[in-house]
Amino acid sequence: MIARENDAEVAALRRALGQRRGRDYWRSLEEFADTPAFQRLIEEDFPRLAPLWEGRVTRRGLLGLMAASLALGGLTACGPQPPEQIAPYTRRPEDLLPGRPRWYASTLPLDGYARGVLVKTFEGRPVKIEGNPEHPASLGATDSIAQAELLGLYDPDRSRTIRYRGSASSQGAFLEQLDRRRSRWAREGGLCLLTGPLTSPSQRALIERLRRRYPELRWYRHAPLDGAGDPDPRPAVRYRLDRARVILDLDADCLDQGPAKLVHARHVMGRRHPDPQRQDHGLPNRLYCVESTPSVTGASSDHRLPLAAPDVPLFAAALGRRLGVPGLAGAGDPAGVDPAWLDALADDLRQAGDGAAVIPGRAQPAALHRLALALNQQLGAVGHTVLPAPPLAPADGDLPALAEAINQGRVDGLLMLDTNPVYSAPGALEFADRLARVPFSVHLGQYHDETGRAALWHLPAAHPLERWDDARAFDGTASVLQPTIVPLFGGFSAQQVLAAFDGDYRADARELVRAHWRRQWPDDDFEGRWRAALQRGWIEEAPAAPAALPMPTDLTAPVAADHGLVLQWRADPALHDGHYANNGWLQELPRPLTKLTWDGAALIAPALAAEKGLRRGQHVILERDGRRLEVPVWIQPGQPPRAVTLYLGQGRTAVGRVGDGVGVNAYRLMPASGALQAGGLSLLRTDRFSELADTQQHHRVEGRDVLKETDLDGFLEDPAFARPAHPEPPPSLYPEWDYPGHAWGMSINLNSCTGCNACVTACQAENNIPIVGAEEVRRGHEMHWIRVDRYFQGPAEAPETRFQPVPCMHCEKAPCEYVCPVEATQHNSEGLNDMVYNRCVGTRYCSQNCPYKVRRFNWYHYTDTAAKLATPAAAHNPDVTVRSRGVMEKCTYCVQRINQAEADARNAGRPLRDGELKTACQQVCPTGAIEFGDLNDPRSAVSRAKASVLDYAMLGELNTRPRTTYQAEVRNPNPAIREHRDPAPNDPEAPA
Amino acid sequence: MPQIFRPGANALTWMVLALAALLLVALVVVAAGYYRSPYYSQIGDRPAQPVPFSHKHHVGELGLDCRYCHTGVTQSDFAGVPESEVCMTCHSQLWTDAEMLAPVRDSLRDGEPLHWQRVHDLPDYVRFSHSGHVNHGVPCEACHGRVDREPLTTKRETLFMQFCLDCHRNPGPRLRPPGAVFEMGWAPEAGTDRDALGDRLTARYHTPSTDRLTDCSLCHQ
Repeated sequence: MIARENDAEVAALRRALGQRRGRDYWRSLEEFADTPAFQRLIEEDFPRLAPLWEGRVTRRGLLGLMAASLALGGLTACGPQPPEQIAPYTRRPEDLLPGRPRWYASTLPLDGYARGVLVKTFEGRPVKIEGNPEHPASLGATDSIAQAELLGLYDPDRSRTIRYRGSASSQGAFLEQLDRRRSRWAREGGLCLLTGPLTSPSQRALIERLRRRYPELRWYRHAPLDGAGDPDPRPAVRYRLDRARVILDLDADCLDQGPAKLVHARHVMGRRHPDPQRQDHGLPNRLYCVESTPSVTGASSDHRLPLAAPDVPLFAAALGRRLGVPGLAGAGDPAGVDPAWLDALADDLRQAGDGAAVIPGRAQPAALHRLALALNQQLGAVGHTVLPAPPLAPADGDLPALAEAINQGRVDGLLMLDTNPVYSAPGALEFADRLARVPFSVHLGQYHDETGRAALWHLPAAHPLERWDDARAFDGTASVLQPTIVPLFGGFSAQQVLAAFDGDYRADARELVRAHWRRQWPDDDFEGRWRAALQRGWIEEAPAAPAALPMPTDLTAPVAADHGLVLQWRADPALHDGHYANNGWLQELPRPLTKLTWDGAALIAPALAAEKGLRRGQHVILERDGRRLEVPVWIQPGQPPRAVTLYLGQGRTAVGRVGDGVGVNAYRLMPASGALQAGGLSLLRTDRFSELADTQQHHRVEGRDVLKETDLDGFLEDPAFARPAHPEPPPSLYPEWDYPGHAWGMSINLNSCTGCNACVTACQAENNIPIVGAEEVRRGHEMHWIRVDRYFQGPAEAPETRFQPVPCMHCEKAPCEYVCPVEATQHNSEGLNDMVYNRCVGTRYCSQNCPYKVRRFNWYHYTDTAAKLATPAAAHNPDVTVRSRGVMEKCTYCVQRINQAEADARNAGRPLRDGELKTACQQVCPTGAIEFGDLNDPRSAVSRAKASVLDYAMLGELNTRPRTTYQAEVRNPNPAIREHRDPAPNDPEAPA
Repeated sequence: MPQIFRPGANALTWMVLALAALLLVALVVVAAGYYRSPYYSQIGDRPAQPVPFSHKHHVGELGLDCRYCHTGVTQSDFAGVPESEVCMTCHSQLWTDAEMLAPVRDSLRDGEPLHWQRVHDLPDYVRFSHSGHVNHGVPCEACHGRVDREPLTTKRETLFMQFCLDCHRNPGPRLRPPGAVFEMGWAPEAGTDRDALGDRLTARYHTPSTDRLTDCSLCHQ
């Protein structure tokens, strides 16, 4: 049966591959190919609901259950209030008022690089993280991972105790053993240090101190996402994309990866406000993306070219030849790339001159980085859009070098700081075996993880929200990690451990960081500067002398080779390198392009699937260099046909109850060098299947015209293309409302949205949204209040991708309000559709009647403390009700923030200012795509956005008059390249 | 075919029906009675406290202002229960050896908070802001009653949604001028038109419209 259905689907997929359709949007290949399975799916409001009821149902049994639940359900509310206690402070900390939040400026490092944040705390308990507008790497925004650090802080699976050979031990026992070895290391050497990428000035200073004590100390760096080490370091470069007019992203995913991603997103997409009056038509840049795996950047780009990773340097060389870069005259065009496309790109870059920027991907080898720098140099961009960045501290080697040193018996003591090489080392290194040969290995980590278990000693590390530390941003700006809570599980900071290795056994974490900065500011008012740095969130320093960029010489054109089937490893968009695998918010986050949650899969192109006869979820065995890995496949439109991508970060075995056993560990297949792409992959089909937990077809708004977009020419021809044919709304049977006070509304600029998902996680953190687990996601029960719909358009091999965030529309004529039998959803006097949880009896009529499918139902008691994935109560926002089973919920426009802002303004006796009140999704958005405010104020940002000619209502023909509207997307393609695009712009919406 | 029911069956049917109706009425009466009973509303409850604190003594007799101890009331949602050190500002000088105050002294010495029993407790799905009320003319007395006459703090009102709505639908008559919010037993001067005063005060405090004050999400967020 499965085999026959399989064949039918594969056949349908093959048929679909040849098709080219115009401006129809599709969300999945099943939809594209219109298979019978897809038809079944769309007939269900909540897909795959039926299997929920596993017992036999009879009519009598059902009626009996209904009567019993009606009779007994109500009684639960009949008891008096249970007694509660109040425990006031004995001495109240100065300035702390119970019930008022306090904000701390701090820093969250990712890959060692700082992102400035503001942490909201109630009575010393962090409850929300927001970006620090003054920090150069944040500009007020954060990503999903920073939002989810909050959940990581309260993770009950974090390491709580020092362990010796896996059993609980004590600090004293550790220091005693350490003390016995220190003098030997000083005399004979043998101490090694392994860290991740590290920018912390105070940690570096302590490492220098260790070097003085142990002259033979070797410092190795393990950065699994940076690919293979290279004898020549990569040029350290940063980009000023606010100055760039034409940007070429070479497999870099520059809007969603790397330490400057938030700034890139703001500077590239955040400036897109199409306006026919402006000189640049409000589209100040054009983004080209050549990429090996469909990414957020590729989806946002004006032109996208899928290319297997090893071909990207060939592409860059071919471009270099066209631009006249010396040494590349012999470079040929990579196979399968239209030379005219390359010519047009080269012309566009040349015209942009110093306004061009070529960005190489971190997963790509150093050769591409040198090529890209040469291209930038040739274009004149160096010094304008391309600037030198402060390089990472020079380490003595990478992980393969350490493994070699262990092999040679040169490592007696190994200190591993906040890194997990046993999990994330390339499989070919067999690092666990090597580690076993180190006589004295010490691991500092937040989890008693794979490395913690393999090491002799494991020390619990403090979370970034609970430790003193410092870090530098991509541009070198230093900032302090200021703890917002005492270490919950008694963790240590890296500084403390480094100091212990230096013989300072009782060092205070705060003093270790301060001591470093005190040395930097010898003559100044240290306390004043320190306090200012804490308050502001970054440290003011004299700018370092700008280093000159060493220009690459002796460039040679890379040689095309047949790699066969290529395997590519990429950072998981949510779990990153695997460090965040025990974070339920991130595990359940639908990945931007695949919409997969929880499960990992190998991404393969539709053409490869058709060739091998593979169906979604079918297991394959990937074999490379004698190593095998069984993994389900995910057929990803836009994937290069000869390349298979595995996301890193899954397949953890010792991280905790959330992350263990989810997906497979892709590091196992990696070559020993740590290169993130390798040829010679063979792919064997099996007959096993997994049902993957994806959300791409959930909450469908079936077959209706929800997206509006065009290109610049179409826009200039008909600027009002998004407006309905009949501007006057038809009459409605629903009552008219008037709003004497505020009237809240939202506008989402699809030109700026990159689909990065930050809003989804921010909403989850702000609104106490539960984690439901993979099984529930498969049933379509995910709870996210804002979803980011992803649409494909065009051929399955190289489609264009669109994103559309969909929160509750807060309709003026709301269909949900009139079907609730208990008035649990009501229109309020400021235009919101209120949802009253304590009234809701769970009929779900409202969800049935919602054309946007934005309502979410608590099928189970996801928030119960006994629930497997319950969010720890301490992580809850105290201003938002925690919902229980049987209750409908949905986006509230962050009504708790509205109420608070209104109350604060009233208490201060002043009107509420525009911009003072931000919803969680608006606040977090890296590109500022979301505007929220008072529609009664014609000068408010949201009123101005809605006055745009591009403003349109999703499903406007239904006359629900949503308060959340969209600004239609205008792309800025190169007129010389017209691929996969209808010559005519979108027709204005035809009346239904 | 013989009759199935005897003639008496009619009467029996009527009796059963009447009994059923009566039972239904009785059920409603009992439910309503339960709902209004102090058992359910907890009116008059006076839970045992770690220290038998008397508002009558401190407010009624000594004349302490509410804000001396409930420091958050004008700025925060929570009025705040006084910290042990606030109690000890006076009691380090007065009644320093009183057995009754030993828990307060122990608490400050050991850093262990006192665990007071909540008397006025709203359900967790209700947001109530003290500052939002007292800054805009709603007196303490409106919900907490005459605490200046209570030797032990007692729940005086149901605090049901009906109780909140009574005022939210027509706040004027309960509003007081700013100076009188924290006063116990305040009454407007004799001869004042209470309705007119209410109107003046709603204008002065910019009290939101009744529509806004009865929005579900104002309290259920």
